[in-house]
Formats: sequence, structure tokens, C-alpha cells
Amino acid sequence: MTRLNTTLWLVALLVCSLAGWQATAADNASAEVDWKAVKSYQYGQDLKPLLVLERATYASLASPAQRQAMARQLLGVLSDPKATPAARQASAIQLRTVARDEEIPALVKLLDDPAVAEWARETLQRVPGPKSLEALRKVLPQLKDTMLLGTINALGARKDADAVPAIASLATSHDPAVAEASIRALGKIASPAAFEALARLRGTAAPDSRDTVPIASLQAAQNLAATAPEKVAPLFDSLGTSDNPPAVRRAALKGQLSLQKDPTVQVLQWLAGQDSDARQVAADELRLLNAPAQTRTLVEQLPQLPPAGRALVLEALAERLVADALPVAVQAASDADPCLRLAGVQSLAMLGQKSHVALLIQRLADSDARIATAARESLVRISAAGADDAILAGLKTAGDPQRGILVELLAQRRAASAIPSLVLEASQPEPDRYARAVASLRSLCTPGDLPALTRLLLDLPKGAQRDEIEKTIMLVCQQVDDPQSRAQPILAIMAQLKPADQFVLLPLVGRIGGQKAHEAIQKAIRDSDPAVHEAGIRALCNWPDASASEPLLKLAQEAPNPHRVWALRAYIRVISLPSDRPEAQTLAMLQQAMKLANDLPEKKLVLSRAAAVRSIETLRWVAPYLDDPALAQEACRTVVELAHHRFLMYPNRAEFVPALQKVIATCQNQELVNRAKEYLQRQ
Amino acid sequence: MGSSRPAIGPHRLTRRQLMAGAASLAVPIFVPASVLGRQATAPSERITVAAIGAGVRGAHALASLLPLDDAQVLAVCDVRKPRLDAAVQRMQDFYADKLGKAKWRGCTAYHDFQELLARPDIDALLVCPPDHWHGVVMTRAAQAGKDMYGEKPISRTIAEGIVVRDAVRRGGIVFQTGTQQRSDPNFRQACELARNGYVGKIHTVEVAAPGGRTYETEPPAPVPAGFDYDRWTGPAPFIPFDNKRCEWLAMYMISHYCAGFICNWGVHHLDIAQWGCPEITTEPFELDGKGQFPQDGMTDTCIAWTTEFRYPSGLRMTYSNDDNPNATGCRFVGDEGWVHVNRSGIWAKPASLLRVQLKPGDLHLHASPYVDPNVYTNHTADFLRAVRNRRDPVSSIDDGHRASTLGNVADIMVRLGRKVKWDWKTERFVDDDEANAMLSRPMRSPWTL
Repeated sequence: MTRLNTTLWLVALLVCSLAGWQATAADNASAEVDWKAVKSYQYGQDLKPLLVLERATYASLASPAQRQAMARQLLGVLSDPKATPAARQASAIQLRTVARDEEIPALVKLLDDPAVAEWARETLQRVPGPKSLEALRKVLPQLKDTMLLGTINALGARKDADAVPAIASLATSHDPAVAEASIRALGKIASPAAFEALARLRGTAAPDSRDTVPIASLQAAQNLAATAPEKVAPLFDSLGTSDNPPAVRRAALKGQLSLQKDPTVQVLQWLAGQDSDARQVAADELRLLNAPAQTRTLVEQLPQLPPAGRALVLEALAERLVADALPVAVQAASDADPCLRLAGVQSLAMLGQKSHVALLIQRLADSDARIATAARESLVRISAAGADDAILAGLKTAGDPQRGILVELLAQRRAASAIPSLVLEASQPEPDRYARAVASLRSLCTPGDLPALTRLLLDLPKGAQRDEIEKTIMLVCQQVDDPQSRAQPILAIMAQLKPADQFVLLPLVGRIGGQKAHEAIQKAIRDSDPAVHEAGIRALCNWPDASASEPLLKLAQEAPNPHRVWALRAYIRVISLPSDRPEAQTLAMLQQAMKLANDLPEKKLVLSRAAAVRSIETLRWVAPYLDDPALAQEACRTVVELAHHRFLMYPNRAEFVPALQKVIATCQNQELVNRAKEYLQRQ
Repeated sequence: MGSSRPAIGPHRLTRRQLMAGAASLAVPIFVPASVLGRQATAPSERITVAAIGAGVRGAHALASLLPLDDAQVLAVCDVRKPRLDAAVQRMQDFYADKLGKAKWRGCTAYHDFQELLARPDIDALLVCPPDHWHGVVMTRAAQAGKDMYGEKPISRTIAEGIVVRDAVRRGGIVFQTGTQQRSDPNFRQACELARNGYVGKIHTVEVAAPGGRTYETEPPAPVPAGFDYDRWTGPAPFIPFDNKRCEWLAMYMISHYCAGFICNWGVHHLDIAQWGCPEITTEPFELDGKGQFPQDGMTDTCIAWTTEFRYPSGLRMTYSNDDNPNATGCRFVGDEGWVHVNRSGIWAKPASLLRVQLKPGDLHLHASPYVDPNVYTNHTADFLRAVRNRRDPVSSIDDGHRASTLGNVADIMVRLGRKVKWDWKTERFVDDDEANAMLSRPMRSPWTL
């Protein structure tokens, strides 16, 4: 054997080996599929065999041999009249991924089979390359009804320029659906020939599809504008006249602008004119006029524009931080025209200086609500140096409701320098006033501000205002990364206080939680001083999570009143907080709490917290209380809250229906009754 | 984590509370803004609105509109008559109450959205049908000259999204995508910190969204009275009706109707990623990763995914379902710190970043009006403002389409089970016929874009 022969022999061996490997791989891909299960798959059955089929189909793309083998198998199912319709449809869908030229003849044949024709057409549409388009074009004259429509749509979606003559002739069909589909397809194909065909149709299309022609023409023109502007310009001109429908006209006017090298002058003319369509188009175009020369022209022409146009250009310039527009913005913010005033106020957010803050505060009281809202937004966003100080100066003199607005927006501005002023506001007795200040402090304060907040807390008498400050301190402490050390800043402050003030802060420490807090609370509970002991119990009852459930339960079982009741209420609260505990266990704990509850308020609390345990067992436990006049209202709320969750109500509808009907009959809260009715009607 | 601030909360007010609050607002004077040429109108004139789709999302969109005095709902369209009638009745009751009348009959019910589009007195639409209908309805609506709020994702496929975007831009339509997180100040703050370099040079963006789920098989059932199921199916493959497939949430997990949460839900946080780091949707990327699909049941979309987008500059974006391994939301990681945001709040390291005030000259991102504690209503207010002044709202069509594309590209990659390369200029996969074939899906006759 010569050396050449040896080489050829080795190559041949290698090819055979590779072919064998590919065949094995192909077998492997299709071997994963249970073809028997696929062929007999019925609608509504578990998708399992089809899910395997889909994965295997994608996997078969790993090699041409695997893909080819998979395509053959899928085509076999699609062509098999004994396979179920569901199997044939599913195979067609997978075939879209793997079908290539070799599957085209068989797919074309299937276009004659009404059972699978639509699926075969859809698959053909997805076969890449010109041969599938050729096949679709070839069958076009033989098709009718939905198959014809689908094929026209397919050729349009594939932008098949060679299909233009056939589709153009169908565009004058007496069947309005065929004509309309053809016109739309020509718009998508958007070749010069399609554009010409559409131009011819403008005078000849049937009345039913006449309105579609300009829409399709504009679509085609968009594609051609860059390469053949001379062809599309007449179209934009003729459709841009006022006798066209507004939507068509506006698109044509946009087309006109797209053909201009610099449309700035045209845009300004339209903005100054009375033509509302042209004004709309010009306004839309402003966002594109951002070259330096265009911006310069806009600034120069700004004062000459009528109010509506000036407003639009001003906002566009402000967004680009064009400082030269500031004088116009200041003037506009006080203009009698509401559109212009609005634009001025909005523009000052970007362009304004600290000296304009007073003007914006003034606009908070504007008689036009939209302008007042815009003034608030601008005060939040104005970033000029000294703006915070100017707002704080305004706060000192502002009355209601502007003062409240300024308090809120200082937080939105993240104005840390405002904290002392906000603490002062939070010390005021009027609920509206302190509530706003507290809300702002919650978003602004950091642990560094805790001494000031704690001083405020100690200065306030017991009551709602003090509770709010306590919650604020707790929220600020949560910013400490280590949960076990979150109470540490307060414990450090406590250590410096006189003993009488120290235990006043203990319930707050309980709210914060963590190891350090736990130790301090346990020490207080053990204290012989009744006041300290009670503060310790209160602190434990404030504990933020279920880790205190065991000692709370013990107190609820053993402690004298009122500590027993406090503990029971706290126990009910913490066990119904979100947790990893199984729902059944939480429900059992609530049921145990119900047994411990001697009085109605605690029983009501248990029932209302049961809404957090979203299980059918909860419904079964709560539903009988609908018949208990003393507890029915709480039971109603819980039933409705449970029904709110579709995943719970849907599979248990039979049990929910009578419970919701009872809610409708017995509940005194109309909102809950309405919700119950809504859930009953929900499909 | 570093310091945090709670979200102001998209869900702070219930729909019922919103409706109750809105009822006390001033009585509107009904003047379609289109009559007056929109941007030239005084703020007090109404924008006339219709909703297409009155399901879970449609009801939310309508509820977000009702507190706003400068719009009025004139029509609702749905293919489920009971749902349609209920939505129309809600509108009639709301406006009767608002106008102080015993009855109000100014809201019309439509079964066919094309009939609704033909009404010249309707300025704007809330487009909220199932995902597989987005492309068709949005394209036709844009061609009819209607401004739109459109649910995300923009489309079921990337190719449909391109058609929608082009139709919107060609017609000069104001389009707002339903990515409401952009109207939440926390998300804007995170993106402004990222865009203005406060976390240093961003090298990694971590994104996570809720994963998918499976549903147990449901047998075919009779179509309920008043439900035009054939129309509901529309351009998707026709499968005999059952009681789950058209319902929230199962329909989001069936690929005929939706790409699954990898796209549908993921769009929210993917959109924030591009808002804070535009390179993500302007530069080409290579994408790799893996997805986990259902083994049984009635759904077929991705349940869990772990993916990585790599950019020429060295930027990486990792995108997974929640806790796999990324934490829900979007985190911008730079060489000087990070900021993380989701619907529960915003966190940063160093924590002092959260107290940063933008300096003069810093980039300010588009801010939606703050008219209500409810983010959805502020988002809708931004849409109405954009309709008046003919400018892009906070979530433009381009933003929506690009975010939807990120989700769809991720879905295609995990389905193919291999690396892909994406080019934003051509809006195609690079040298990849198999992936490019998945850019579109054939539509059932007679539907087309």
C-alpha cells in the first residue's frame, strides 16, 4: 500500500467513525423522547412528554445530524393522521426550530391537509432561507380564506421582496380581509417595488381597505427615506395635507422633518403656528434637536414664540441645562398663562439658583393644582448651592399647608442640615405638624442623630407623639448592620442618664431587639423595683420577632394581670409575623392563644391575626366564629383576607363560597362585603 | 447590607382606598384634549382615555388613573363580557359619584379593540391585554394615532417589539411603558447615584427578579359564557380552553402567551439596570448561563436562571431569579461602593451614599410627578403630562423595548442552552441563525402586526 493510500484509508476510517458518532448522538437526542407518549398526547394531559421533546429539540441543534434526525421524527408525527391533534400541533411547534430546506416539500404537502395546514404554514414561515419563501409564493395562488391570509402575512413578515407582484395583485381583491392583509404586507416588505405598488393602490384600493394604504405607505417610506428620499418626499407632502386623517397626517409631517438636514427652523415655525397636528409633531421633534447649533437657535427664538410653543422649548432647554434659558424660565414661572407658568416652574428645577427658591415656595400656593405640584417637585430637585438654606429660611415663615410641604420635601432632598429644624417641628403638639416632621426624620436620620431624637423622646409626655418618636428611634437603630448590636447606641445613651430616665427607655430597647437588648431587659425583669420590673415586661412585650415567644407564653400563662394580658397580646403578635415555621404550627399556636384568652379583645386579636396564616385549615378554624355574634366581625375580615389570595381560594372554592356568603349576610363593614362579592364573582 | 431606607411603596394604598380618595376630587369638565391640540391646552382640560384589557393589570391601570383629575375614561375593551361589564360598571359608578349624579353612562364597552381605535374622540389608551397581544394591539393603536400607556414587556418577541417601536416613533405617538419603578424615587435615586459616579466606576450590575413557577395540569373545560376564547387566543397557537391558562398567574408561565418571568417580570429590574447604566443597552454583549425549565405540569417557561452579560469594556451584568444567587432588585457595584434598590427600599455602601444630594451639573434623571403616595398613579400622571407636552415619559418606548429585549434575549439563550452574542445596532444575534430564528414567532391566521 502506498503512503497516499494509507492516508486515504485513515481519512475514510475517520469519516466513518465521525459518521458513527454523529448517528449515535442523533440517536441519543431522539432517544430521550418518548415518541409513543408524544404521539398519543391529549390536550389537558401533563406536559411532561412535550417538555422532554422541547429540550431534546433544542439539544439536537448541537450537530446537523441530530437536528436532521429530530426534524425527521417531528415531521413524522406532524404527518401522521393517527397521532392526536395535540401531538401534531406540538410537533409542528418544535419543528419550527429544526426544520430546514429538506423538510419543505413535506410541509408544502401538508398545506392541503385541513387538520394541520395552519401549523404547516407557520412552520414553513420559520424555515430559514429563500427556498421556504419560494414555496410560500408558489402555493399562494391556490390558497383561500385563513390559509391565504396567513401566507400573505408570512411573506410580509419575512419581507419577501419577490412576493410583491403576487401580493400587489391580491391587494385589489374583492375580499376586504385579503386586500387589507396584502396592503399591510407591502408596507412591511418596504422594497422600492412595494412602495410603488402602494402608490398605485392609493387611487384604486377598495373602499374597505383604502384607509390602510397610507398607513402601509408610510411604513414602507420609513425604510426608504434614507436611501431614496426623492421617492418618498412626494408621499410625505401629499399625506401631510390637512384633508388626511390626523394620525396619517402627523406621521407624514414627521416624515417631512426626517428628510430635512436641519429641521430646527421648520419646527419653530410649526410651534408658532395654529396647526395643532404640526405643533404636536414639532413638539415631538424637539428631543432630537440637540446639536449645539440647534440649541443656540432654540435659545435665540425662545422669547419670540407664543406661550404654548415657548413652554415646550423652555422645558427642552432646561432638561439640557442650557443656562441661557434661565431669564425666560423666571419670567415664565410668574406668567398668567398656566402652560407657560407650569413650564417655568418645572424649568427652575434644573436652571434655578438659590434666589429662585422663594418664587418656587410662592408657587406652592398656585391656584392651579398642577403648577403647585410642579413647584413642589422643583423644590425637591433644585440642586443650586444654598438651596437647602433657602428652603429652611422659607420654613421659618411659611404657614399651613406650605410648611408641611416644605418639611416633607426637605427629606426628599436628603437635606441632612435640616435635621435640627425637623426635630423642632416634631416637638410641636399639633398631630399633623409633628407627624410630617417625624416622617421626614425617619428618612433622614442616621445613628449619629440618636442623641437628639432621644432627648426629644424624654421631653415628650406619654402618648401618640412620643410613640411615634420611639418608632423613629427604632427605625434609625435598624441601620446598624449587626442586628445583635442595634440597641447599643440607646444603651450607651441610657448609661449616661439618671436612673429614673433609664428605665423609661427600656420599652424602646425592647422594640429594637438584639442580644444586648435582651440582656438589659432580663436584668430589668429580675429587678426588685416594681417600676423597673414593669418596664422590663413592657420591653419584652415590644420584642420585634418570634424569638421572644417562649418567655411571652410563660408570662401569658403565669403572670398576674395586667402583665399576663400584655404578654398574651405580644405573644399573638409575634407568632403571626412572617416566619419559616410551618403554617400548621403557627395555627396551632394561635389556637393555644385563643384558649388562653379570657376576654374579647384578645380573642378578636387572635382571629384577626389568623389572616396571616394562609391555609385552608385556617379557614376551617375561623369559619365557625362567623356564627358567634361577639367575634363574627373579626372572623368576617379574616375570611375575606384569606379569600383575597387566589392560590388559596381557587382550589378550595367549595369551602370558601359558603363562608363568603355568610360574610355578605353578617358583616357590618361594607368594604368587606364588597370584597366578598368580588371574590365570589372572580373567575 | 449598608444603610437602608424603606420604599415609599407602590402598594401603600389599596385600589379601594384609591377609588374612595379619588371620589372626593374636584368635578371634571370633559373636554377631549385632542380637540384643542393637546400641548396647547390648559392643564384643566381632560385627556380622554380608553382601556384595552380589563384583567388584573388593566384594572390596576384604570385604578391608577382614577385619582387623576385631568383624564377621563370613555371606553373599555375586553373579550370577557363579565369582566368587561364589571369594569365599565366601575367606571360608570365612579364618574356618577364624582359628578354627583345618580347615573352616568359615558363609558362604552367594546369587544373589538379595532372598533375602539376608530373613535376619534379618544386621545390615549391603557393597553393591557396578555403579552401575546401586545405587538398587534400596540402597532394598530400607534397607526391609529393613539397615545399609549403599554404594559411591559413591549412584545412577546423581539421582532414584534421593533415593529411597535417603529410604529410609535413614525407616528409621533407618546408611549409610556408599564415599568412603574421609574416613577419610584428610590429607583431614581439609585440610578442617579450610579449615573453620576457616586459609586465610582461601575464594573458589575446585579439583577434579580421573581422566578417562574409550575402549575398542575388542568383538563379542557367548556368556555365560560361571555368569554370569546378564540379572540383571547388571537395570534397565539390555539389550545382548547381550560380553567387556568387564561388566568393570572398561569398565563405568564405558558410560552404561547408569555416568555415567562425571565422576561415579563424581569423587565422591571432589567429596565432599572439600563437606566442606571446605559451601556447595558447600547453596547454589544455576550451572554451565557443556564436555565431550569419545568419537568411536568402545564407550563413551559423558565423557572430559575443564572446568566451573565459581558460587555467589551469589562462591564458585567449578572441576572438571575431571586436569591439564585442575586438578591431581588438591582445593584450597581462600582469601585467605590454600591447601591441596591428594590421595591422594599434602597441600600448602599457606604451608607452615606443615601444622603448624597446631587450637585449642580449632575445628571438629573426624568422625575415623574409626585401626586399620590401610590407609585402607579404617579407613573400614570407622568404619562398624562407627556401626552400634553408631547415629550417622552419616564419610560419611553425605546426604554421599554430595550428592557424587553434583554429579557427576551435571556430567554432565548437559556432555551438554546449556550452562549449568544447580541448587537444592539442590528438588533440581531451575531452570526447565529438559530438564535436569530427565535427573534419572531409566526402568528396564527389572520393576525399580523
